[in-house]
Amino acid sequence: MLLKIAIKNIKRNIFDYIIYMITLVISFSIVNAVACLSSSEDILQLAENMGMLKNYSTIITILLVFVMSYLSVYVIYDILIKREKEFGILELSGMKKGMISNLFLTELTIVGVISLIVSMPIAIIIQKALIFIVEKIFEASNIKLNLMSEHSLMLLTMFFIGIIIISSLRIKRKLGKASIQDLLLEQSQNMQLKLKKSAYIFMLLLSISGLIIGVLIFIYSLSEASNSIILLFFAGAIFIICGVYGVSNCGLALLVKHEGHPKVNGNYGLGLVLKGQLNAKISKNNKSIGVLSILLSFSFLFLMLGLSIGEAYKSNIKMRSLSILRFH
Amino acid sequence: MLNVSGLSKYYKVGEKYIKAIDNVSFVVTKGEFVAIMGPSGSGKSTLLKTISTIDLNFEGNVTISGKNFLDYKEKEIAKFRNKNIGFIFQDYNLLDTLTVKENMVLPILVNGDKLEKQEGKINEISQLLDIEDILNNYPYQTSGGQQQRVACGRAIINNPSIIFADEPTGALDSNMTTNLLKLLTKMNKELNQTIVMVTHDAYAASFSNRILFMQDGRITSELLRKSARQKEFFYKIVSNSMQFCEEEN
Repeated sequence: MLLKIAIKNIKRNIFDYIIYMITLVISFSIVNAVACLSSSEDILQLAENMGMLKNYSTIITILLVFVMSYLSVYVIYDILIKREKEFGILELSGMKKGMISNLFLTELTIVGVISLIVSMPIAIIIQKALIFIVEKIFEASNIKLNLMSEHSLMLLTMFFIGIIIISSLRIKRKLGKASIQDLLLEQSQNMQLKLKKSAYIFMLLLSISGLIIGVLIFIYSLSEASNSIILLFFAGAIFIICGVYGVSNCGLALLVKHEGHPKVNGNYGLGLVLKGQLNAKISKNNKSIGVLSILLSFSFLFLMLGLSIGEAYKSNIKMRSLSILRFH
Repeated sequence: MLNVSGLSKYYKVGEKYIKAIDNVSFVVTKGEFVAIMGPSGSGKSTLLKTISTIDLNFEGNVTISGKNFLDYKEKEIAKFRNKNIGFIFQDYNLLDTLTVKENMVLPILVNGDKLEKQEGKINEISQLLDIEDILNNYPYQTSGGQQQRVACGRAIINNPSIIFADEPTGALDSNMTTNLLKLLTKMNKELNQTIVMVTHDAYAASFSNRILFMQDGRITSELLRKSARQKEFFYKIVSNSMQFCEEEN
């Protein structure tokens, strides 16, 4: 029964689950690709002290796992909040809170397994990109990676179990604290704004500036033909996404903060409906954009770090070979 | 059946405590159809929530079928709710992911019982509620009146000791309202189902056997239908409400 309801719920809430799935697919792909890279024999044989690179990448992967876990749990919590009324109805029908959390966890696990399968081809693409970078740095060729190593499998399993355990604790805490009344009425509460109007105006201006900078960087990156193009391209994309996020978020807040009802075609009622619709649409999309911008920022940071370590390693080798030559 | 004694409920607003229900006591016997009436803010919905296990934070004693649910742990309350209580709300509270039939049998599924054994009962109730043709539809494919009938079906599917209805006609038009109230009367008479309904509508209340009038968190008066016809009872309710308004002025 639980499985049947869980599958139906996934189908019905597919749009809410998509952002969770995207987060997992990106996380799984990156973690898998990096873990395979750092445990590859071909790469370890590229230089004597490649073990250090392995250590670095392990640290980065762990960091990545923490950030991605946080992001996934945030997305899960958002779905939970949206479905509080549904859980309240189940509780009214006599379903125990433990069973409700199990139902939700079953859904999360099913979507997680699907994401793992979907992430495989994406992991191959990321692996190819990483191999290309490594080959460029070390002027090597024909580096081969496994699709999945023991190391990556272990990391992915730990990562996924970690997400499920943290989510399970949060779900239990949330449902345990809330009464049926809270669950049934939660969705009808209005959006609450914590900052002052002036703070939102400042953030809106900042976001618009970020958006303009992003577009300029983006255009510049398209006109340039150098190795740093990937970084510029990424940076531009992040600025644009963060700008869109900021503009929509602060724009929405200012719209809600605006005193009185907006008058549309001389009709206050229509204005209220429009305001409510805008409010609902923007706040829904904002979370998705927010998660996406964090994901992209982290990918960018990771790529930049990887390239920097590579470049530093390369110059270190050059310096060493020069000093050896001088010594001889 | 339902025994409420010395029930009080407070809300904290800022630093102050506001008494939403003030020392309320009453008894509902098996097979009774009781309406709780009162103006907005009189505490009728709060009272319904406290006596129906939705809100467990109150003072006083409430027993359903002789059992005080406050003595139970969370898991036991869930089971108690499943076996003893049915709910009908203004906004139906059906699950969009499930079909009409699945929504109706949800308490059976939650209880872990097999549907095959209950097919006869499901057919009987769906015929009674006139929803046998829409059993495989989803809630969004049905009208408001049909959805409320499905909610009624869900409420009675487990043969509960009592049904709590909170403004069940609030979202329905006049025709659907009459149909639903007739249905509740039918459930009360044919199945000997105990019903406690909260409403602010005199017409809806006129379908019940007894009315408890609430004002400022207290039960101020009681009206019995006895052998009166529904129309006569309706006039009595209106007259009682008018009297109350005059006293207030």
